[in-house]
Amino acid sequence: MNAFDFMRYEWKLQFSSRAVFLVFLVFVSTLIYGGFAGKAERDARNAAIENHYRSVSTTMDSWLEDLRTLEQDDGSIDLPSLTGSAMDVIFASSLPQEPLSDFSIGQSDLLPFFGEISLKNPNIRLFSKYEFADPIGLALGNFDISKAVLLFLPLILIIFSFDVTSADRDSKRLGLILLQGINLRNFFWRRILFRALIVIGVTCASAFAVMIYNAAGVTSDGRFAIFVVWMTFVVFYGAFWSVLIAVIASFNRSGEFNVLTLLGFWVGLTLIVPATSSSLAESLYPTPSRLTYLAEAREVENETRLSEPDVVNEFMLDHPELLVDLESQFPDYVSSAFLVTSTVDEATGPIISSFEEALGRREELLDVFKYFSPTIAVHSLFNEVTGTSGRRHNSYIMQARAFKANYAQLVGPNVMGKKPISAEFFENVPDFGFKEEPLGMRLGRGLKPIVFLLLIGLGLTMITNRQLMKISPVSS
Amino acid sequence: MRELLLAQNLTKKFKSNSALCDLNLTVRESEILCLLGANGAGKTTTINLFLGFLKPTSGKAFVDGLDVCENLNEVRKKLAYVPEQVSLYPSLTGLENLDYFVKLSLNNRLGKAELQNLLDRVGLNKSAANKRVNGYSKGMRQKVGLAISLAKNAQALLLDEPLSGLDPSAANEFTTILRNLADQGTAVLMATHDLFRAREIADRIGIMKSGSLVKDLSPTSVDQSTLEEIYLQQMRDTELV
Amino acid sequence: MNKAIIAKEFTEIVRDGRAIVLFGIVGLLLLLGLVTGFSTESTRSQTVFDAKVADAEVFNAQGAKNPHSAAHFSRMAHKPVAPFSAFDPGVSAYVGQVVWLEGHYRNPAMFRAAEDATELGRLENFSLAGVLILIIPLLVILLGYGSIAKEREQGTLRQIISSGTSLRSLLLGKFITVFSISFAFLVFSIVLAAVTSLFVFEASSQPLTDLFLRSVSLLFVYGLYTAFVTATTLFISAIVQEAKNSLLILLGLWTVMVVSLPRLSASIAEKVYPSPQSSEFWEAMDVRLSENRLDSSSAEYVAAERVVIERAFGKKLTESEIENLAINTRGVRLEVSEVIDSEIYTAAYAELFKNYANQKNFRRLLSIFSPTIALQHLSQAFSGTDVNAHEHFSNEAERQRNKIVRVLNEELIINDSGENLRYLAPPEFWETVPEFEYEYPALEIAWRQSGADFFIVLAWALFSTVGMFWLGKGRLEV
Repeated sequence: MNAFDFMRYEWKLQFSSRAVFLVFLVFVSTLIYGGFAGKAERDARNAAIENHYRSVSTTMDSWLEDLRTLEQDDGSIDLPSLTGSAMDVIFASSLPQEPLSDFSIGQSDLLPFFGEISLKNPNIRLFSKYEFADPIGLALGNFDISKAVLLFLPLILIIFSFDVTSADRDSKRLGLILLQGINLRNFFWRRILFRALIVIGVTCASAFAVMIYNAAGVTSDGRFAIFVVWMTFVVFYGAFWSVLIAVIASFNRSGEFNVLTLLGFWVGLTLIVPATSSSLAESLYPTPSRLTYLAEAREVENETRLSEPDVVNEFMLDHPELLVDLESQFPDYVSSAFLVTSTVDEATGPIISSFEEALGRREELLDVFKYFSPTIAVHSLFNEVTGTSGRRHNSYIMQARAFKANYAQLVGPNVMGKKPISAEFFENVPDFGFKEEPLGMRLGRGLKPIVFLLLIGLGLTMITNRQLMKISPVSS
Repeated sequence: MRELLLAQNLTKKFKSNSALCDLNLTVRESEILCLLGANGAGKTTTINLFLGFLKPTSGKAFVDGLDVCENLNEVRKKLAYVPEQVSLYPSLTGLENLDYFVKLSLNNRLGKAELQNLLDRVGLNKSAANKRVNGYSKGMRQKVGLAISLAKNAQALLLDEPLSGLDPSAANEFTTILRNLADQGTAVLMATHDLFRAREIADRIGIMKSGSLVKDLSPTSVDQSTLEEIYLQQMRDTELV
Repeated sequence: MNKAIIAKEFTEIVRDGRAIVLFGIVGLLLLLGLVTGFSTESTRSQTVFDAKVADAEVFNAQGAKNPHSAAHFSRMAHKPVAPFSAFDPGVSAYVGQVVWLEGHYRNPAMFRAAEDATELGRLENFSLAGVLILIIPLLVILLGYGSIAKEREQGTLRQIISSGTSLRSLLLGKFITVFSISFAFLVFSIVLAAVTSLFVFEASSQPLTDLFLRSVSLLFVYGLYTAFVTATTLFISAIVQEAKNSLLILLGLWTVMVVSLPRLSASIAEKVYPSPQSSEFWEAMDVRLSENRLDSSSAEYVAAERVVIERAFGKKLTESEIENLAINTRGVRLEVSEVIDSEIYTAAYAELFKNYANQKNFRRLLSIFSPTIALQHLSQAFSGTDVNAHEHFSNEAERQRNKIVRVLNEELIINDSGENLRYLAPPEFWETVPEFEYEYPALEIAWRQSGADFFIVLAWALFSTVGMFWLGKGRLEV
């Protein structure tokens, strides 16, 4: 049978009914809704970031204007007493949104992606006023096109391919088909391939439409290239599931058996394995409790305030060049706040490192689980490729802390010396810029499990071929 | 005359049960062999072994001189098969079903007229051929099954109780077509319970019992009642055993 | 007759090795959910307890300090672990755990536990309730999809019908079998959850009757849900010709109603009633606060000042008495602004929670297509882990903030009189500041807030059961 006839009959037998159209309609609507939801989230993030930069820049423009006035002042202008204080400087910071960030919401709805960096806030409160997203939505898991693919692509593939042989077997047509002298292996794989191509094709076409539609209103450098990478993972995911379906189907059991077995795999690989592995990682490597962190921070804050003179002396000893401006207008509480914040940050440093350590260990463990479930492997790659991974968000938080610490070191002597910083100095302080880990590196980490799963797929293909040799319409 | 179907000491065991033991049998060109026997006598197993759906425990089955186990694909090109219940794709018409199976086996297209011609030969008219199979009677489905076999121009045709459940006129029509086919050179091996039809169309009648061929008769040598008597005698012996 | 049907159904299930394996897997998943919930919540419970103790110690050890500085340091209000959170953690990991009761500001709860969880946890999170909601319908489907369709395929259905058995009793027998097996799993899970929470959460001092009533309520609504799933499964099995098709249709329904719609409904609700961005929320708050500030010479302001002063001294005062009092005017100003700002905070947070309520109502609307949504609401409500419970905590924390800040301001008002503007409260003063004693809202409140959800689940259960008996019976007779 030539390819055209084959496709014509496959289409007629498998895809031309109204029920099938309905299934596809629901699937495509889900994908498109996912795209729409992702776009809405991305646009909201972009607007929030833009707003944040605008508001910080307004504040700092006026701060700088006052400072310039102070620098040219002959004493005639009445300026706020804190003019030029380094403690009043705020920096805008944000996690840049990647070109395809509308394709996966990832952790961006839960973890901070922008925020003011200021010496007034200790690290523990650096990002603490951002939590209004609907908790139910968060708890049920955000919905985007990547999630729709992860959950539903395998199901649709199962629906259309589970009966690749069982439909003929169950209706006793298999004997008649085999008697036509066909090459069963060829026939079987052609069917699997055709059905997979249609389902994956519909997925990719819908994603492409989403990609084009969502591109409106954002700078899209590299968007297409990243989309191609995203789509490669989709194709891998679809192919893996198709091979899994093929191997189950090749055992030539009833359609019911195939559906039940494949459903078991679906529940296992997309729901149970991810859920249990994340629970396991969290129980094996718990992060320190935030409440303990908070209690520690407050204790240090209290102690620092109680023994402030000693802490000041220590600072002075560390900075012998420091001259305190005895004429200064700056009230004491400014330098005192600076000292408390720096001391608290320093004292709680080990807690933060143990957070980071726990996160690192968990990631190592979860990297192992990627070998067990394509869903885990691809889920993480989707988040990496769209720049919404937990890792990238945590890296942003760490960089913001480091930026603050660096700035504190730069201006510490001024704050303690109760002196304003100069406008020139201020202008030379670099703005916060997120140091990006190259996409190649980010993806590289997730590729090993993919290669492993590809090898598994190859093994399954071989098993399938062996099983196909044994297929007979009668049981012996 | 070529021996198109040949069984040599064919034995098939399912676990400890012997379904077939040391069966020897031949069907030549233009010959119709009807196999009679009680349920479980080994008729269907014999057919399945020729079709390569089962592997023999020992012995060999040959089709046109080719060992079935060793030349499965070659052998299947030479064979056609009509089961008791011809299963087709219910959402396709009779014509489309025929077209589909023909394409699977021949790798070339037959025109619509040629396909219809095949269906005409088995007595399925144009308007019936263009209806979906889910509305077909059993006789109509058997006709499509036979048309699929005809299209292959097979050298040997195997039928597994194709007449059961057919009304007398459909059965008559069916056997006439079989006779014509045989006259054109096809070897036919048919398993059946219908003694009357068997005597009417067969060139030879084999009676099977417990996996062996216990009688090989020529229908011209026995009349209907003698045949029935011989058959019942064999069955009684089975019960005694 | 019913007994014979039930006995035959049970025998078939027991003899089917696959069913036993299935029960094993479901049991294992439930235990896994229980152990995970148990370990997370007991750790959290201990942490909260320790943190509360530590917070009290730090606050009381402030030494001599200006009360207003202390108002900025202030206390933390820790949210205790909810009564049944080991069963259904609900939103508790997605709302903050602690509120900073700072002067001037009503802070939102900080530190959502989910922020420290893995990103994989967002794909699917396993709690006992999660397993029940997801897997019990699957169990019912697997037990029941062929219940009637297979009898039809095998031809035994014709024999049963011809034997004169009432069709209702056939359906009822099958219903009782499938339902009772699934219900046994429910009882097993909920009883275990109740027992563990009895041991773990001693600290939260939940009375035994409360725990018992919560268990019964949960069992009741989960039972209704299971009845719905069982009836639907048998109905589909009765009207479809082949068991395979029955399985496919039921799995399709499961995917849509159990897996997809709850997620989609939350996502759509968030689009229809978007939650505010934090920056917008605080900017709007600033504007409202400054618009609400009163001119210090206005009659309203003077009246407020009077209330504050009288409250500080605990008695009615005449105008001349007030004028002659040695009080700290800055303290009065601080307290007056607390009182005035408090209205705005209360209104703004009420709007925020109103928005969550709108989202919930919207999801309820979508539960016309899936009772799973309403069941999730009920499960969280009875476990004390829904947004309403968080709102209750947030409001109580605010009440406590007002109380603490008032005590500190009054300390300032009364003691920091005259020229001495740097009054330091004595070290022993801090212990007189009231502790935050939080009691979870009673189950009765949860019931009152979930009437609509309950009726939705009840309606689904009733309609599907009646549907099964009437329509299913109709098809069987054909």
